[in-house]
Amino acid sequence: MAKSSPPAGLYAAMANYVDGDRRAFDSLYATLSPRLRGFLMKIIRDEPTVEDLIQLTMLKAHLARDRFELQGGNPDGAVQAWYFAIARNVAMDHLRKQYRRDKRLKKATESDGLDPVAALVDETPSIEHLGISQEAEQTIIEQVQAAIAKLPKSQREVVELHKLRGMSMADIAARLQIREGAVRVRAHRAYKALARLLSPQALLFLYWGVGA
Amino acid sequence: MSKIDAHALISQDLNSLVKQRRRHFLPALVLVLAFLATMLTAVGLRPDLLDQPGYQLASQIVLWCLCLLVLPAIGLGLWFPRPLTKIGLVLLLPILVFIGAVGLPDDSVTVSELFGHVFTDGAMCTANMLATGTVLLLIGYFSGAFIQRRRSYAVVWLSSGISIAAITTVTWHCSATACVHTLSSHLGGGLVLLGLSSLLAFRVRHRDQGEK
Repeated sequence: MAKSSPPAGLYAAMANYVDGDRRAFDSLYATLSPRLRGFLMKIIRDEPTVEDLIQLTMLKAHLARDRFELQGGNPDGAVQAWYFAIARNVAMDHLRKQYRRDKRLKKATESDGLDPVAALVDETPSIEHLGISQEAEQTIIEQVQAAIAKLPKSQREVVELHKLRGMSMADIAARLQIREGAVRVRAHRAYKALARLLSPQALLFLYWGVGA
Repeated sequence: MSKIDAHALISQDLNSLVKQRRRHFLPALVLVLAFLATMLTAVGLRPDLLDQPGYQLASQIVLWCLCLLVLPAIGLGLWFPRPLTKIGLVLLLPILVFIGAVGLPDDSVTVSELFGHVFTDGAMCTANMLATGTVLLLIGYFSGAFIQRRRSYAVVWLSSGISIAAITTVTWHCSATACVHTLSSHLGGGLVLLGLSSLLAFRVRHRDQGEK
């Protein structure tokens, strides 16, 4: 994974962005987008998909921005590494999905009665298919954030680590120093609570937009 | 072209965050203005307010603008000035406060005179200032204007705003111009208020972060 040295001022921009400064976000976006594009192109090698994944990386990072912590002695490098880690998780999730879809397609072509074109259909609804306008998307993001904030701390932690940081249940268990079974129980309760709190559109956004 | 525009979504989210902060700040500002106007009407403006030297009156007016609008805007995350602007403000503020409260002193005082004065003639002004500062702090706290922010230096901007408002209030009420009085009771009281309000705000912040 070849990462070029981070540009100066990235940490200052990140700190201001986390504080709510839109101008700092603009500068961060302008600096990191090309770098993320280069990084993701090495993994995915498909330009339109990479564009989607950059957007997803930025959204995931935005929702998790309060949890960005400075680690090590290179603040600018820490910001870049944090974004690259999110991008890598997003790319891995995408590849996993693609693998499953290819597997389904292979099965369909091998068996006689199935239409291979039908197997290609992506079951995950896109934002476009959901027919959500930008304003509505904003409302949904706020709804999702508010619903997550309403969860008890123990459940909220699990949702944030699982959905927003893309950590596995085993990693979460190790981090929180509890059994993996307990993590799964908390996650199950949290998602059940979120299903009650959120509208179907918002729930789909949580699964597609945040957890894709 | 990607299906979603993360840049636009995130920009909207940051704009709504600033709007939310503004919604908390404006009622607090109205309350503060009403309180200061009532307070100055009740205790009375100094008779020589407009007879002060022009530079001193001008610096007091600039201080009112800074403490009521600029410092809270920075502290609450409504305005994000560039680092150079912040450094300029930090350098300019003590000079303006000194000129506004003391003017250009023509008599020299010793440290023992200063401390001796606080416990004799200056106690009233110091008490007045601490009372004003406390009310301003309470208005900010109960109106929800002090939304917790990630960066702790925000506390110092808010505390400075409160202290400068209290100093300028006392300066507009008390007509004593003796250097020993203005230095010990006006500026000294302001420094005590700055220290106490910063300490209190840091403690509240620490407690709230511990609860999260």
